[in-house]
Amino acid sequence: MSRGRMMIVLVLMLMAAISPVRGGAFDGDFEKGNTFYSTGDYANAITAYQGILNAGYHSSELYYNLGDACFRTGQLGRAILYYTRAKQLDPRDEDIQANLAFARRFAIDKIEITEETILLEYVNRFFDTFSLNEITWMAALLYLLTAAAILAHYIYRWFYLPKPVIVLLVSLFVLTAVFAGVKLDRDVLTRSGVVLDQQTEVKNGPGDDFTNQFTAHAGLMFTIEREESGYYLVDFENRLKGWIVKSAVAEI
Amino acid sequence: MSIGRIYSALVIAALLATILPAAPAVAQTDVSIRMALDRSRIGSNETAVLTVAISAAGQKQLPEPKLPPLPQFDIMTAGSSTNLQIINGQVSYSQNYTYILTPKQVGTFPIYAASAVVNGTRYESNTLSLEVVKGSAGSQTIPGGAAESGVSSKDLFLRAEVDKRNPYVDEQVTLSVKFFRAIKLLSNPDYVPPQTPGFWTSDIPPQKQYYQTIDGRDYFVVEVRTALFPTAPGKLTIGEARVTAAVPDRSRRRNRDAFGLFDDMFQQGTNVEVTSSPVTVDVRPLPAEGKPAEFSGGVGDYKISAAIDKNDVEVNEAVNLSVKVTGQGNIKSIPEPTLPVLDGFRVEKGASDFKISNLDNQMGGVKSFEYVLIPRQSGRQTIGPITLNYFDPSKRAYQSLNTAPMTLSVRQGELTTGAEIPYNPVSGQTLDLKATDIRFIKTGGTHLYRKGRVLLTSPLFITFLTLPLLAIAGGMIDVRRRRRLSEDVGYARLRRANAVAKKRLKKAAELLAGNDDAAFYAEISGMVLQYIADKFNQSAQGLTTDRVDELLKEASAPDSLREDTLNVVRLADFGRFAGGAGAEVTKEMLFEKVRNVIIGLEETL
Repeated sequence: MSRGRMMIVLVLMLMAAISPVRGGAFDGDFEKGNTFYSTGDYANAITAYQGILNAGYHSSELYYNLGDACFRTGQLGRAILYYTRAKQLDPRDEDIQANLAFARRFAIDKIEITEETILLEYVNRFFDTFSLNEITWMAALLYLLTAAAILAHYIYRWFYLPKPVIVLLVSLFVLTAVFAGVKLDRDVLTRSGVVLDQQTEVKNGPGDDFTNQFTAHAGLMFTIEREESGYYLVDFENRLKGWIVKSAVAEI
Repeated sequence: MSIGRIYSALVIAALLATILPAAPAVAQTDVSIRMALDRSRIGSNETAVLTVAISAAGQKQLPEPKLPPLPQFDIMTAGSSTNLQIINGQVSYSQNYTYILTPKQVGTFPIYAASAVVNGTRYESNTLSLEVVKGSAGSQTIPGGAAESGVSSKDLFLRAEVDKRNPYVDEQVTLSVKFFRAIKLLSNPDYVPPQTPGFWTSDIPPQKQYYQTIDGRDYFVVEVRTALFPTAPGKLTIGEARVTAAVPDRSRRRNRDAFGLFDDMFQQGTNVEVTSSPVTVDVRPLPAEGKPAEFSGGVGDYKISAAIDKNDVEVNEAVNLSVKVTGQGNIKSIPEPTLPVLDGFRVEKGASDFKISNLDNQMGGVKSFEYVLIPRQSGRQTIGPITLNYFDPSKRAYQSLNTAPMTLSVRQGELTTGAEIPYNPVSGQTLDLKATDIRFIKTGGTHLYRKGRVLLTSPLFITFLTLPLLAIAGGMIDVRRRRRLSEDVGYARLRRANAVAKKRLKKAAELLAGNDDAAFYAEISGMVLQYIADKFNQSAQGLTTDRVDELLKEASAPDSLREDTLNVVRLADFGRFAGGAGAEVTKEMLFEKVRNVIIGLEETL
């Protein structure tokens, strides 16, 4: 049947689209960076790793190693930036978590995070455990199963499915779809950043003439609301807001 | 008993004999009690300091004088002091008792004599009077002998001021004691700083000297500043400061003639004592809100830094870690910063040292803490962060500072002595080892891929998401078609006609091989009629060749096909009824014709 064949073609095309476009040409640069790092030449290691990023390729290992090299050269803000990026790609890697936590201990600014409810904590832990693509796959799988169940049960009546099974499938699918949406919002649509400069002033407005609210130091993380004349309007975890000059920070 | 001992006993006896008769006489004559007020006029919201001094030559045990009744005042005891003086070989003791009088009402009140009984004799003091006016009495007056010397409180006075009345515990309060004088002094003034119970104090040198004009009069001012750090919350009182100075005796000079000039040169003058009012500060406790768990004191504004003297050592080679806290505040009271867990090291605490400095009247300085770190394991170690928690009174908030990380690479020494006990955590204990350094890079290769690829938003993924929807839609259409087939007979017949014809054609083929000619012809005829009946949803039984001709004409089938169809039916009928004899065509030819007709009809209809 032509419809079945079309389906196979589509699935194959999808697999091709999803399977990462390998940047095999840069594997050598990665190894070169690692060699520099092992010999203590962190500056050249950073150059090698950065070259791969500039060419438009990335991986959790690349960000992790780059974070290590930045930490060794005292660039705390950038180290935290790259560890965070690594964590987004591979949220369950212990090394990334350990080094991110370790680096954050050196950040001068400690922001008190408002107490979270237990439910919110579990939800957050769920989000921290899976990457966006993983949650997307989960939702997609549940979507396929739900569609198959509807086809088999309601349309063709090939076999009988108990109602709770269908309800469970549908609700799990809705839940994971919502999660995927939220994760997309958090990781991709919400812009966040980190302070790179040793210290920079958080201003009351987008310009040097505005008064200083407080001094932020390297490694402080925030979310970006919008930008205006070279400044970002940023939110800190304790709901403080302020304007911070773009050149002192990097977007994650 | 030796000769020497007898001799010395005799000497002592002789000495006693000469001293003893004189002693009682001295004691009986020289007991004196004097009362003095720090000023004779106070405001109703101020306090006066009453000093009662009892002194006696050679009398060590002096009773506390009994105060006269003072119903108009609240009396608070403010301590006592003992002085010993030797004048012309005579030892005299004096005891000063200080009381703080708080007025209850306004008016001029006499202070009658205080009294004490010494050796059975009752002694009485002078009497005083104290005027209490509404509100504040203004600047201090000069007590005691000042009035006698003709020096007024405008000539000479002492003022004590604090920069903060409501400091936090351990926050610096700067006390300035200013000695104003508009007259010449005959001697260097003798300054007694105020008592500051409950404060940790530190002088702020140097003394400042300057001129100041008050009410048109030029004063020479000497200012002494002291940094006070309250040690506990609550109301603390800074006692009175006191200056004693010799001033020219003007009251005597007024009665003299021109030779007074010589008096000026040789006069001894009168000793005048001026005091300042006590100052009360209300010390606030440090806020509980936001207090870090590790906070153990430290108020001010500080910075912390740390350094190690080597970056590359062997196992067991000592590294000196020095942590420096600098800033403004009571640097002496800065607690030791919290060291991170240093599992790879044996940590020996060294000295702590501080240097006090002052900048713009703010006390501060550097306090350093020394540690000796002895690495136990080879490898790269990170030391830090070292945390300092302190309270910043200007920001009214607790601050937490961390030092930058320091990296130390530890080599496995060639000669590792066996003396060092290897680091083995006690078995059975939970290991809660905190990281000492970042983990090493990942060297096992990587899967690099294009940035910015998000599955959820990729167009192909979204296309893929439509497939199950299409499948469901397709399924629904499919099911609906089947249902229509089963419900609509005419549609079903139309759809089934070809299949039925094929089935019958197959049967005919079987009959062709057999001998039953009648059955073969019947099958052929029936098949064609059935096919046409199905196609046009007619009954096969009532279908005549004329009707077939009509139907095919209506369906605008080609003439040749119509002729062929009718021809086949006729031939089959002829063959059936004639028993096959005299047939124009053979069975095989007929079968072939039927097939062509069915194919032709299927294509046309």
